[in-house]
Amino acid sequence: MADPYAETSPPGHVDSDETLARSIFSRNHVRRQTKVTFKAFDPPRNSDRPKERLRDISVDRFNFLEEARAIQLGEERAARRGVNVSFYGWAMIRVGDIRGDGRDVISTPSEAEDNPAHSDIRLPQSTTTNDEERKDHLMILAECSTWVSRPGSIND
Amino acid sequence: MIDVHLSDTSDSYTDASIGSATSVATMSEESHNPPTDITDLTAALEDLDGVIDEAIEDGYPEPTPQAIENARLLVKTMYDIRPMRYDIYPMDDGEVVIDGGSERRIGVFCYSDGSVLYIGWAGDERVRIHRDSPDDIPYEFLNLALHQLGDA
Repeated sequence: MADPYAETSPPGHVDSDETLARSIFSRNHVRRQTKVTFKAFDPPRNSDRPKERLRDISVDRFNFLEEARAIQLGEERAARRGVNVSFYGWAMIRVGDIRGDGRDVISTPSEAEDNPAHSDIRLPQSTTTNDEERKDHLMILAECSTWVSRPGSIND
Repeated sequence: MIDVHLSDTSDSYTDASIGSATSVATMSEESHNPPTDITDLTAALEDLDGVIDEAIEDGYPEPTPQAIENARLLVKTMYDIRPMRYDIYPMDDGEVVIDGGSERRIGVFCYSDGSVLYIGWAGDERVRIHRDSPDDIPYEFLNLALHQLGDA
């Protein structure tokens, strides 16, 4: 069966020079329009195993998205999260700054979103149960990030 | 107490160096000149006043009074060491976080049970220190980590 993504998909390997964008849906995840907080990258809990965390952090490969499509994805995700949820912008981060200390980036195209540029930052397995290690990785990601508000934001 | 390095677990600071506890009282006996401009400290304390509302808005457990008071004590201590704009906000287990720096960061996580986790850079090493009490401040680590944050 033909792969519907075959002609439009970005390469399966995420290059270290690529830029990833983490969509931000809470104004509390950014401080003073400059600084991404640690909690902006916090993966959700695993609902099946409440004490454990998921270790994949959803991002988009920004080099393979048109800006209008990236905004559309953000707005669609906000709408799925609830009627009062807004899309504020992105925490941008370079792949090369992520890899290391057990962190990796993997291509995870989303058919549900029709988004071949979707990928995940994968934290080490130990972060699902080691809270202090998880926090440490979240801090590194925030440290390497740059805040970019969505075009048209009142904060532009 | 644990000291853990993300990048290199073979070479760790010892309790006698980075991890040693120095009380605020001891700090005061050292050459210590409190900053006269407290504009940024005032802003950080305003953040702290809003942590319960922010926790509710984000759907997190409300931080305990102890976590909030520990954050108040520690941000003042950190400001004395390195006056700068610290951001204070809740996280999803009810911790109150003191977040300092930009390109390099320090994070001080004040838990609801009164314990405190310090994470930051000491030189090129990543250091984590967990203390059961806010009185047991790893002053040497704070001093080193805060002074290498650059302009923030």
